[in-house]
Amino acid sequence: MSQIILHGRKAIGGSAAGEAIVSVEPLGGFCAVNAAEGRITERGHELEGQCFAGKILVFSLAKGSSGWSGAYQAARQLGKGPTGLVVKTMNTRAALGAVLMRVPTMTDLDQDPTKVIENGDWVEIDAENGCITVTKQSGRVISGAPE
Amino acid sequence: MYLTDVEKAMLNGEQGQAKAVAMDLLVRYAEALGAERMVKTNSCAFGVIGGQHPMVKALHMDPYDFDAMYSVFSLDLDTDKTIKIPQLTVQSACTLSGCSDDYLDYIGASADLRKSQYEGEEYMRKTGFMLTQTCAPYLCGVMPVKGEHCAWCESSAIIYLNSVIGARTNNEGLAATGSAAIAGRIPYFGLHLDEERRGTHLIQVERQPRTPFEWSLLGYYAGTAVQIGIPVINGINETPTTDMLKAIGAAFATAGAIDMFHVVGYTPEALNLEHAFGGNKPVDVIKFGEKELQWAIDKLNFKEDADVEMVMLGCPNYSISEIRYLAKVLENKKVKIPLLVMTANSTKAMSDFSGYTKTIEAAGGRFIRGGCPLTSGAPTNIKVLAVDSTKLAHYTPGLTMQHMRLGTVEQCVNAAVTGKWEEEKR
Repeated sequence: MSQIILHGRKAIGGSAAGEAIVSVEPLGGFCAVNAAEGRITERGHELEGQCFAGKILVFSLAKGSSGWSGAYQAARQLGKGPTGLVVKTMNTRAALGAVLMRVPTMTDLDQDPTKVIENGDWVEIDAENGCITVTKQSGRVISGAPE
Repeated sequence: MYLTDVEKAMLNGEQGQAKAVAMDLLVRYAEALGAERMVKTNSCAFGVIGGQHPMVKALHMDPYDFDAMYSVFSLDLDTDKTIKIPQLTVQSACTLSGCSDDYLDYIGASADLRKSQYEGEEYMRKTGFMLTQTCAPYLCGVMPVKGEHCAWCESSAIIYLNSVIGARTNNEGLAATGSAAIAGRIPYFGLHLDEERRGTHLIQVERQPRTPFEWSLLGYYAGTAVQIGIPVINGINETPTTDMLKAIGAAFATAGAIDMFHVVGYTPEALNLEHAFGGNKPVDVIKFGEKELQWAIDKLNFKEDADVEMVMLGCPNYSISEIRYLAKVLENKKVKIPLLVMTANSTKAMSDFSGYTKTIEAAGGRFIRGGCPLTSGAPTNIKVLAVDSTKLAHYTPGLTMQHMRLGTVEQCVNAAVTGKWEEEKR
């Protein structure tokens, strides 16, 4: 299994490891999440019906209502939040969401995390040292990725 | 990050526990954003969740312990312990608080639910909120000035504030505005900075949007194409109305992470194309014509449903001019399925005084003030809803699994009268 290291900026400190769930499409919050199940419910979204509870949630962008952070906060309060976040493009929705999910979070990475990381990959976040280790599960070789 | 002496004093607890907790949250938030300092604010707007919110039950909380609810998620200081919430010093507009009296009547609410709602409102009065009770507080007198730094929730209000008024706010979540209302600070980031307010995408209009509904289709289409950025709409040949700009803003903010737009020649930071882009080169040019307008209608309509069971208008909350127009369309008609009109308390008072309420109620329409069923618990026995709002059509299925029909005010009124949806004749 190949490993890839990404470098970037710590948004929320700490370390976490888990299976990746990846949203290449922008990710909704308000009216897009079932907090009690830790599940994406947005109609037509690539992750519709999938669970983020206990996983490392990797996404391109937080979109939609300013209720975004509240939806994921509710998931954390109900024990169904993700254990870490990797955000391609940080904005206020994702930053506040990360604060309220209270999980290690990385952003501003040297490669697009939604391209490098696939669903099911094993992701280790070391926010204090600004790096993420991705262990590929598919055996797929990513062109241009460092060894 | 840099903090002033006053901000450090707040953080250290020298100005009380609530300010310390609020400042701590704001500092963590600023660090996650990568902001280097705070900016002062005296304008907050946000909805407060009352005792009837499902999270109260889910977290086994006392629905009458407002300090506790405000600490944990209502005002949302995100603490695990109860903080005594002080009088808010910042001008804070409450955009909604659970559900309104009208809605309680409509659903035949229990005495418990009413008590929880009324006590919540009383707590807010004591805490010093301005109880605007609308997602569009700018329609009822909460009007910051151009350049003013604000901390607002509610995506449709945020985008209106930035784009049409020229005041400055990021898309703030409840925890950020709740903390800002106590500490009077918000991270200096994003749309607070001149250089972050310049246009990024060019939207070239080849088909003039003529009504608020068509403006919302333009917003939904272009917002889906842009996803993130500041769209610049070029080619509009007639001054848009408040209702049109309200509608397009709500649609932009629904379809993407868009908190500001420019309309060349009409909005304050877009005197001309060069001014709107401020030296930026457009990252994309998006055409809007008849095909693109139809795309938005097709995307949001559940076409298999001809029978409509309820009509909901007023997302964002109807202005007095939208109510006036609705009254005209409803004149001498009679609805046979529920038709709900969502608006602010103060707008409803103006509608009463102007005579529109009488016309709308005579036709069987019903006003819902101070909130919206989407946030207060939508009726669950309705399968197909008809709306004139791309925002409502987009969000409702994710919340309640209901099917949607989206169209003009006239189509919605026709559906209310006949119970059937008819495609628009073009």
